[in-house]
Amino acid sequence: MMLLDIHEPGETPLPHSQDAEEAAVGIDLGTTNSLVAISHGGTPEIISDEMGQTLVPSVVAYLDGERTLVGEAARRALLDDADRVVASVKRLMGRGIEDMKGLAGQLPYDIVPNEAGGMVKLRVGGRVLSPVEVSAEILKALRARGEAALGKPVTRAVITVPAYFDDAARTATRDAARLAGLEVLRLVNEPTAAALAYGLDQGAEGLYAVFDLGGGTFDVSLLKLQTGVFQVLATGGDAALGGDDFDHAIAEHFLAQRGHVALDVAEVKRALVTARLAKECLTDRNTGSWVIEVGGEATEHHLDVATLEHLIGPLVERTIAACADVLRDADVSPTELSGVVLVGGSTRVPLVRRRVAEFFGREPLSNIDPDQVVALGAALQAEALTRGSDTLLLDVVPLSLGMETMGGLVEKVIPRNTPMPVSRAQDFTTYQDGQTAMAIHVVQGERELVHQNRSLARFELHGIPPMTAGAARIRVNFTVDADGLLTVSATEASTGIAQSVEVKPSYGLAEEDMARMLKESWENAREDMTARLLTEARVDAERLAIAVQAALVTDGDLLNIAERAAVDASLAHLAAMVAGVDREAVLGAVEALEQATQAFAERRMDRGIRTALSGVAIGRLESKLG
Amino acid sequence: MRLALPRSFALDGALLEKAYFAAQRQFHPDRFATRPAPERLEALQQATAINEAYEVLKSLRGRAEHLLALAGHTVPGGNGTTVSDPALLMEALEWREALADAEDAAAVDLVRTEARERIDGLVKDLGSAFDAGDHRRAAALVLSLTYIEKLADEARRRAATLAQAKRAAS
Repeated sequence: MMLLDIHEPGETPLPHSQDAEEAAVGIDLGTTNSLVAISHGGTPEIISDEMGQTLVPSVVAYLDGERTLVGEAARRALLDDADRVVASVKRLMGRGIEDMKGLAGQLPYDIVPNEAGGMVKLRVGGRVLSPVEVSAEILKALRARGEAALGKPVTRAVITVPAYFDDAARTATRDAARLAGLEVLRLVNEPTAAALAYGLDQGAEGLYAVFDLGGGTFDVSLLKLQTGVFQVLATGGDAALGGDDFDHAIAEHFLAQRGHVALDVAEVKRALVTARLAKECLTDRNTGSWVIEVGGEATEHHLDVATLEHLIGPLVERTIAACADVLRDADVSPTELSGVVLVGGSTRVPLVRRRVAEFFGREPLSNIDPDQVVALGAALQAEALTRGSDTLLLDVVPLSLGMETMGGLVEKVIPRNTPMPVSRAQDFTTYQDGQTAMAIHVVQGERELVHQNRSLARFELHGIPPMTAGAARIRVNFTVDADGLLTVSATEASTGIAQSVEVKPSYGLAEEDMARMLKESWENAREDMTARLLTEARVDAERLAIAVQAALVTDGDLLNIAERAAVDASLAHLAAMVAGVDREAVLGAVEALEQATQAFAERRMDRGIRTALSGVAIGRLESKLG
Repeated sequence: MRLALPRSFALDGALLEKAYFAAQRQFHPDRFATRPAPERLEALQQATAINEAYEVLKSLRGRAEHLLALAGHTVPGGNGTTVSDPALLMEALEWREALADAEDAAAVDLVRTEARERIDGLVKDLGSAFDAGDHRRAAALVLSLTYIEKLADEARRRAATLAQAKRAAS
């Protein structure tokens, strides 16, 4: 007997659902690292590579020929082949050259001037690339990782963006996904995705602040969580503030100690890598020294925690001021909160944690890995969108949207923190007798003057019948969809003449650019993927071989002669396979070497723990004395 | 009527929220992400209308203005009309002076507290005006409410600026 299925509208997947053959994933496309995750039955998990790595460094290397590397392999190339490697490309999404910030006057990118204005382009290893294309490479790698792990095509994704990303950056992210062959189910704000992961995992209810400090962006969102509903009340932040800026401050400090020097792009990149290393070391140590090499001359630089905190203090205070703004917007005091959630790798910096705890008057929560929580939330939302769910995400417009009026002032049409989707209309009129056209300039931001805000689009409404000044009634309609993307249309009331634009021109890609890139990427996709998978397997295999050889040098005495011979044979086999072109063979050799070295690794660990324990005791003593 | 709520000024906030969530649960675009394009568009429009209704009803002033509009009354001071109530203009001026004279955080807080009390009083009066069906009086009260809310908002911003300055100084 057939049973009748009764569903709420929208909760049933289509009968010919592609779910069985094609997966929908959640992607956190970060400034420093990216992740891909999948959820089954409300339980999300990060998809890791064969080596168990969860993070994909958001770094792309364009090596000689057509070879493109993404992730860890590209990150290692950053030091040796710096001018062929792009890192932190998210900071350039939807941005113009005026948004760029340099180190000692030099950017860690080789920027190609774009006469038309709009989004910057980069010169990398002899190619000229848009940040959208570079981001698409990262997305393709994530997609490939998902396909390799799930054993089926990945065609749809929820991609997270900083809540404070403006319309241009959101559009650029969507374009990158399209280039990578992914249909974007939804762009979800990062703090909202994090709240989703927390709320569902911990059964949280009440008011929560999500403090999300990533590599290049900062968001703070205030959410009300109750059974199944995640309602964003207010959001704020800074789309150009993150751990990268800490690195900049440290690098500037080191370079200032050397006196004035001119740096090339590669030197800037290396100085930033060193600064980042210093920052990470000082998370659990009090002091250290690092070496910077510029113009062939190496200098050593000392840094302690007090100096570090002095350097990054002003940046951290900017995040705290944004928290105060958000609470004020929502008319909420810190005591009314049920919890504060930390998201983003930069919340590992002790000063950040301390200041957040002080400001909110409570210890923040970080029981879900701050690097993973956003991707986990995105995966949950991808599952909810494709398979139905009882949870409801209600998000808001992060930045006010408005129009230029007389005298360069901004008339806000949709104020920030308005729930999405939203549509608002405002009437404008002509200011000259017989005026037949009107320029419409759409801007985004909180400032009063047009030039202090981001310009999103300009268009003209023509064919207004000649009337006396002030008689025409031009209705401008702003619509923001569930992805936070804006469409603007204008109509003259008496004639009904209408014009509408999807807000894109200033910073988005032109359609013909998009078509060309899409075509190129289809043509290269298959070769790219096979080549990339092989390259990655080789790189990982080499990494393992180097680690084993190093271990043999220090702890070779832990093996007897027969064991040693087995390890050496596995190493030789691996080297032979890496020289070939068979990815499966390389992976098999890696596995064989891992098996051959398992007992060795365990014995090394025992020895390591004994050494570490005595080391810790001395270390503690020193820090107490110091 | 989008949220199927009774037409009343004395609307319970929890009831409004419940109706809002129920409506969004049904129509939010997230529920239609894999449906054909016409259904997605319909969901988008519905969810937009629901958000609009919620925003209007959530604010006491928005709710009052909406009820007055339904009853065919306009609020003076709105599109193109002028305010001619001297008592109101005088009161607004006094509030403004009080805020301008408040130099430290404590003084601003005092203005905020007084403004809040005045708002509470106006809301109570609005409730009885609507109960009595006196729309003319309700319209006048809404106008007062508009002025005081604007001032309370300015006071809030001022307090935040002072707090920030204090933080920066310490």
